[in-house]
Amino acid sequence: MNGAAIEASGLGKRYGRSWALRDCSLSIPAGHVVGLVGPNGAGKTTFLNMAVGLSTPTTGEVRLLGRHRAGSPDALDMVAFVAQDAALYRNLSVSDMLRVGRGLNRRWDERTARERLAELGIPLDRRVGALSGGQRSQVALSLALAKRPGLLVLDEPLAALDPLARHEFMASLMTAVAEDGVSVVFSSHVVAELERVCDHLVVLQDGRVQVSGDVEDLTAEHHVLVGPADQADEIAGLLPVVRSRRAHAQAHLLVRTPRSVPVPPGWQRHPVTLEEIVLTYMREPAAAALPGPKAVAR
Amino acid sequence: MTTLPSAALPRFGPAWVTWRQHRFALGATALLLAALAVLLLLGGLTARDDYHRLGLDKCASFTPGTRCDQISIEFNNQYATASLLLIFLLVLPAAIGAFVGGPLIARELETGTFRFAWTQGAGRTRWLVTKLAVLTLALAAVSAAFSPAYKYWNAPFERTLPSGFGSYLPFEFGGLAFPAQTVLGFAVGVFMGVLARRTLVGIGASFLITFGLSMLTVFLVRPHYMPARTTLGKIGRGDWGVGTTYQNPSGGPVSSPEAHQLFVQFQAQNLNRPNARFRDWLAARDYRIVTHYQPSGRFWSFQLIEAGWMLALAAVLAATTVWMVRRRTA
Repeated sequence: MNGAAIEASGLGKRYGRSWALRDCSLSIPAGHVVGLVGPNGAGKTTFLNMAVGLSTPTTGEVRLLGRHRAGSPDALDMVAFVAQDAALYRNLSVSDMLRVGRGLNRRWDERTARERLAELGIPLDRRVGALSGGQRSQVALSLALAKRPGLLVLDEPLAALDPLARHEFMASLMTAVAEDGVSVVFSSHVVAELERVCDHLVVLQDGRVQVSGDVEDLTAEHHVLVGPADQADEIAGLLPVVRSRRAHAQAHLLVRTPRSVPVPPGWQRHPVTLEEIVLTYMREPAAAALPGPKAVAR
Repeated sequence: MTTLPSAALPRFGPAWVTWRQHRFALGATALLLAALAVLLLLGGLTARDDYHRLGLDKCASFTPGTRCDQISIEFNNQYATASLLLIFLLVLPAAIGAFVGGPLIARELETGTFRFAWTQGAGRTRWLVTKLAVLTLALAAVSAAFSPAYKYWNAPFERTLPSGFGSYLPFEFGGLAFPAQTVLGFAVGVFMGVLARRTLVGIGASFLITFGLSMLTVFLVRPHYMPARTTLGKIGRGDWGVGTTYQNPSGGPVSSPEAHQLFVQFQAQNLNRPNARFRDWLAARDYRIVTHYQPSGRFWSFQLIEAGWMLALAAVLAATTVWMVRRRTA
């Protein structure tokens, strides 16, 4: 798959007087599993709704899979969406739900969907409303994958699930990615799950993109430097410090710098986990880690 | 089963979705109308029996004072309560429209399922237009199928209780009016549901609006679809009298305060004469009564006019609903 899975330029959404998303320019590469994180109200759902065409931007535009304008007939054919709380018709049986999907799509892979559901032991004659939350999410995922989408967008797929169901859902998703090569973008505030599943990460904060990058790069470029507190200001002048914490004579600085930069004498370098990086950025709204203009511009 | 890749939606795919989602509402509507039709047919059978038992079929005319007139009055009285109850049938278009149309989109907005429906390949416009088209046709069909049941019931009364062609129920169920009103009620229901975004508000508001509109139509609008003709004599069988005015001895019109004045005068002079008739009293003073009427031959013109404006209004509402759904954002 060439090009960006989702490319947003100057994207903004205003509800009444307040901006849910502002001046968001972002290129999410195709062929990846992308996590979209941020505190509640950061604009995650707003962004995803515009990407799947449920909502129209106030400013800017979103293009999908290299060219299709979000919400256009082509985009609707190629993008599948799993909404928060798996918004399915609860009074329909699973098999009627499949037939609804078949009736409303040009591409439909019914056999694979039925096989997936059979493997998961989900009875086709059961009403969707009578399934457990985990089963309902699996049905929503099966319906989305039956479209054979180039891009799969999921809005908080894990929020309503217990830990076991979360694990099973992510396993199903990863299997599908491995088999179909579909690009996946999902929002979540479960930061702990991210490192295992995502290879690209976007952090939204207060309606703006704060961090965007490959997980490998992010973990490679962030370290904690530990050294004497009286030299901390000097280091901060040389390297971009995301967060500094001082305890007695020692300073802990989370810095963003390529590994090739040598460690200053008298300091020690420690690796940090993705979770810690994400939480740090979420706590420091002023800090940002964005790719240079080259990566965004076409 | 597996269709990959294909350029078009499955044939009748969106239509099947509409049927699957709304078959309960459609089934309930059809069942209600069928139950009412059975009642009307049974009532019609009994009325026919009585009609023949009383010998009304042998009556050539019902001149006041004759035996035929007396038994027709007896016959009519026997079915007075039933006829009165049937007035409630005028509620049907509003009730059906609100019940089927009100929840159509409102429930999707309320429960969030629109996020599934509108992100499928068919797109929300196709999805909505299919719903509107399929349900409009289905409702028009079941409501048109109901009309003959009323006609069957009413046939014996057409002779014993003659009325103008514009009379509420015979007009309502005599042709296009009932299906057109039902379709309009449905369009109002869908529109109000999208506007209110709440199922119950949509149902309630659309019921009140459609019922109010049909009452306005019956009592105020319908008599004026075409300019009325006037006559100084009596109107013919099936003609629909829509108003009365007076002519003074010199042939000029009598204004309504003057007419009221005359009537007060008539009452004062005839306090002890219960059989005195205003018409005769006026005639004796060279005043004349002018009856405004719609001739019986206009029945189908009136049906077409009513169906025409109602369906046009329904189309405007449907187009507005599509526009609102297209630009509605999550």
